[in-house]
Amino acid sequence: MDHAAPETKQPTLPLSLARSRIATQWLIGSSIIFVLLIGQSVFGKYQNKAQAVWSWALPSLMPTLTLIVSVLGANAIQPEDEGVHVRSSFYRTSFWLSSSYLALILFTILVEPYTSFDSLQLLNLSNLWLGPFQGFVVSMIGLLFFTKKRV
Amino acid sequence: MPQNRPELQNRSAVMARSSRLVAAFLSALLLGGAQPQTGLPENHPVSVWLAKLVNGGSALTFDDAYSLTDAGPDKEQSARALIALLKDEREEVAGYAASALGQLGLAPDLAVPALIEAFENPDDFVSQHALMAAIAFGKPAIPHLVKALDWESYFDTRPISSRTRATYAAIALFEIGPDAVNRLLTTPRDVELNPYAISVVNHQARYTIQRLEEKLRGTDEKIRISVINILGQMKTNALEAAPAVAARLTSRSVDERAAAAEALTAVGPIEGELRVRLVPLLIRALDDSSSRVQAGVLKTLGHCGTLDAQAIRRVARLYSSSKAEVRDAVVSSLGSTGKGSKVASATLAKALNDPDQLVRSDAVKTLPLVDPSNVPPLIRALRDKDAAMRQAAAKALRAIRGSEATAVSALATAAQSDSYASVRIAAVESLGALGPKAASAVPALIGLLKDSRIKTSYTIQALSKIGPAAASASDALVAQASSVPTDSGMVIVALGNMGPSGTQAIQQIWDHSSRAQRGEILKAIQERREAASALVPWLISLYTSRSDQSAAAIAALGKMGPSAVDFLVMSVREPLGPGCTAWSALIEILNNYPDLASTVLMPLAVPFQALSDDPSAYCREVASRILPSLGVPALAVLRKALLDTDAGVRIIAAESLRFDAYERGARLDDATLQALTNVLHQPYSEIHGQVLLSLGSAGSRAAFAAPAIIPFLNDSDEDIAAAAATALLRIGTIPPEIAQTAHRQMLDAFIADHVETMKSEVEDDAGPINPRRRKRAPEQAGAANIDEESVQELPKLPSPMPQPSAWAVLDQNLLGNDATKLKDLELKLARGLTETGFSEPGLFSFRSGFGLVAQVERIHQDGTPYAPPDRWSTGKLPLRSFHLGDYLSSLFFDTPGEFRLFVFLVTAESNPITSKENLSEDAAHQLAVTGGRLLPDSIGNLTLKGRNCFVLVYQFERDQGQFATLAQSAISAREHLQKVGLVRALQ
Repeated sequence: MDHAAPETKQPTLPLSLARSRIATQWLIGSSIIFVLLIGQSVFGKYQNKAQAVWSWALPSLMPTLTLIVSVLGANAIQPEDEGVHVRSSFYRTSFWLSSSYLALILFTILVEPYTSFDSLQLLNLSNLWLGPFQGFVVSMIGLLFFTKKRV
Repeated sequence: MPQNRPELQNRSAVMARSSRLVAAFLSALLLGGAQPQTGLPENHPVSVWLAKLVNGGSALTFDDAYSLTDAGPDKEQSARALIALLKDEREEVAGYAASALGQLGLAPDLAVPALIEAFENPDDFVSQHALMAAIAFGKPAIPHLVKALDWESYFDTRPISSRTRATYAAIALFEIGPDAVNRLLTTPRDVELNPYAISVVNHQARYTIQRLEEKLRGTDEKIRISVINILGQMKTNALEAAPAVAARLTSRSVDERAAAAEALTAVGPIEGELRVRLVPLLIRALDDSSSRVQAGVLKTLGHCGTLDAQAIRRVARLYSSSKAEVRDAVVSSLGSTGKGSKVASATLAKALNDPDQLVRSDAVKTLPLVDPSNVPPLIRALRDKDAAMRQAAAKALRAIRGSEATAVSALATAAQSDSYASVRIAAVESLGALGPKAASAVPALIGLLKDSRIKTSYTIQALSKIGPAAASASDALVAQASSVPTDSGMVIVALGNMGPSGTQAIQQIWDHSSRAQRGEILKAIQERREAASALVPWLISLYTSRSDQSAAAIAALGKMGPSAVDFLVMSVREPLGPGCTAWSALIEILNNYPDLASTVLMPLAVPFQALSDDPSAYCREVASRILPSLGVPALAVLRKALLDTDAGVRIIAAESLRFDAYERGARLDDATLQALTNVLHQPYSEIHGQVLLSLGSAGSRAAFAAPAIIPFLNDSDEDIAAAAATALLRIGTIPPEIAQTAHRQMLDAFIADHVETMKSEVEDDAGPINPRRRKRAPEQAGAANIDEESVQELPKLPSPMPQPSAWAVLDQNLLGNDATKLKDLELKLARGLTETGFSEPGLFSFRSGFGLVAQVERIHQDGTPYAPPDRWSTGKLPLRSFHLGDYLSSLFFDTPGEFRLFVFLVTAESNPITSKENLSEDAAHQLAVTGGRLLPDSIGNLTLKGRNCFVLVYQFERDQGQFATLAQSAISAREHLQKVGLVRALQ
């Protein structure tokens, strides 16, 4: 009897499922941040600096959200290849990086009352850590949403 | 005219955020490149120009940099692309993008604000090109530039960024010319309050005066007053308008007459035909009913030179005025108009007993100028109860003629027994200034050498100036040198002035000094600025005695001036003489006294050549210190030294040539220019910069050197490249093959030079951009002690004071009574402030009284102060514990901080706050830290009678790091005082 050597397969999950979960995560996370910022803007927290605050927030979230929504939309009218899978480890890394990034933005806003920085000063300061972080997150999500190969 | 700062900040925040995003995507997707992105197609004229610019390197041509003439089909799109390039990190890209915007004149409403923002670029190349570009826009740029003139400024405490923007905007406006002046003069009231706007109109003085004279004929009184104030601020430039201003002295409006009188005081000396026209008008205006007008006219008369006897009598008659400012103006005016007049002399002598301290003090300074023989009143003033008066009298006695014996006796008494150090010092210095006439004061001065209350240096210098007549002080000076070795150098110089007995004393000191002390003595002599020829014989004897200090003695002779030349000439001819050391001293004297060169250096040409060939590099370095203007022998030696094998010799020779030729305009002969050109072919990079500048100083005579200079335009050392550009610019001949590159560098150099020149002119008018330059060097600490400081002037508060958020007049009962002295009141206020938690307040002088400024403190909305340390913190206060309500409130609602500054003004003025200006928070902080610490007696001994104590409350709100001054406080000034606890503290 011929016994073939067992193939060591890494666990995977369908790409569509991975995209859907990441999209849900980003939509929920961004919504929380947007609601918080809207509340602060409406109650006059930022006075005449609201525009500057939104100029900080939108570029942090919108490019990634736009990418996610565009790809999901394109796939909704053009069925994707069901056979494409993504390694679970890559998905998990993307998921936790995204979570950390969104949490970091939220943390920056929520921690402000306990700092000696003015809101706008703190938000501008946060560019120091959010900038590089955003680079990682965007590259992971870019790969996840643009590729059609197994990753 | 408010600035559009929030909009600018928002825009820059958006741009910063956008650039972060772009960077993130580029790093993520591993894209990128060195080329700046314009968003335009590759074949777009702007893209083509940019590619040439980026790839041009140091050989960038004029066309590459400055000749973008085609903006492409969509001009606004090109403008946006160029505006984006203004923020490029490469100075060439940002700077030339600015120039391209100016050349093309695209979208002024977009481009000019961006260029104004670039004025603040830390790289001078970018800011200077942005300025020239803004100028190139011309008329369309004017509204934006006017807005940038820092209309929010309040005296000189604005941040550097605002001052930079305003200074550059002012340069641009006056370069644009009459259109800018017309725009500014539409609102004269604004111009008179803005130093930058004044600078603009000052640089277009002739045109401005024409326009202002037209406005002066208008019917609106307020505009006429503003126009007069502008002319006053234009100072000497407004001399041409003086007749038109003087005509307003007959106006029905007292404010206008006063403004005219004050403006005329600023136009400077009035001479010739103008004087003939104005003096009768001014004399008539002395009959004015307003003391302000009278004071202004009197000061203006002070600029008209000596007046005739009738006019002097008319001026002197006004001394009977009840107003101190008029009496003071009479005193000042007589100082220049009444020279030699007995009436003026008598009036000034009377003014020495004036009830007002300022009038007395000015009179004592003025009297010797008018009548130096009227000594008795000055001697009486030396016994005045006011220390400032005694100090002024002591100084004034230096200028007397006649009655010296009495004066010397009075000065000697003051020097010994006055309780104030500043008076004692002034008396000692005056004794020195009287020279041999003060011989009778020598015993008193000897006594002062042992008086620890006055620094001995003053006494030694006074004895030195008295000279041989002070020979009796020799022994005391010797004792001083032995007990205080650091005084030895000064003592030696003093003794040198005292003749033979002094020389003997010097030898005595020398014999008793250790080797180290001898070195110190000679060092001290060398460090003295003035030549002390009296020491020459002693220094020569020191050399000839072959002591261990011979070389130092010779070196010291180099500081002694022409009197040491004969000996040094003899020494350098002596085969076994001091050699190079003597040459060093001789060359130092010749460099400082070039007139001696022809008689001294020419006969020494041969030994001087030998010195330049000496095997010792030190000797050749000495020879290279000679300046080229000393003639043919000097030039010959310097030419040789430029190619010396020793780098030190080459550097010194190149520096001598550059200093004398480039800095002082000495003419270099053709042979030296050729030698300098030859150096450019040698690998002596350490002197190439100096050599290039020396060649440039010769102008077109160095045209032959251009081919040798050109390669240095691309030198990796920026300083050498800049020196090459400067040299070519001065030579003015550029070979065609490098014309393009050279022209670019020359234009860059011209722009840098032009902008720097203009900038310094605006800084002269409106104050320097960098406030650090404002700081004075610390005063030399003399024998000064606390009592000396107390008679120095206090810093001044602005008058009138800026508009406060609330103000009140303190109840007189709270302060004391009419007889209460101001120093007691100051003590009471200061104590009240310290009891309520403030630290010691800052003191300022204010018209006819003083000002007292507390610290800026953080307050609650009801006016109660925060507890320390939050009370003194100006930053945002973080939450220190978790309470859900507080947290949510802080998270969702704005919580601006409120701050307060108390200013107390004790003054005889009835309304010290007529200004409509606001006090910025920055300025408030400056005020709080710059005040004086002790109230001078001249103010402190005045009484409260006729004076009020105003309390001014300036309130500020801090929001998102920005402070705004509140025009109106929610609570009254009295409530502020009660909330802080000051009312109780004062009771």
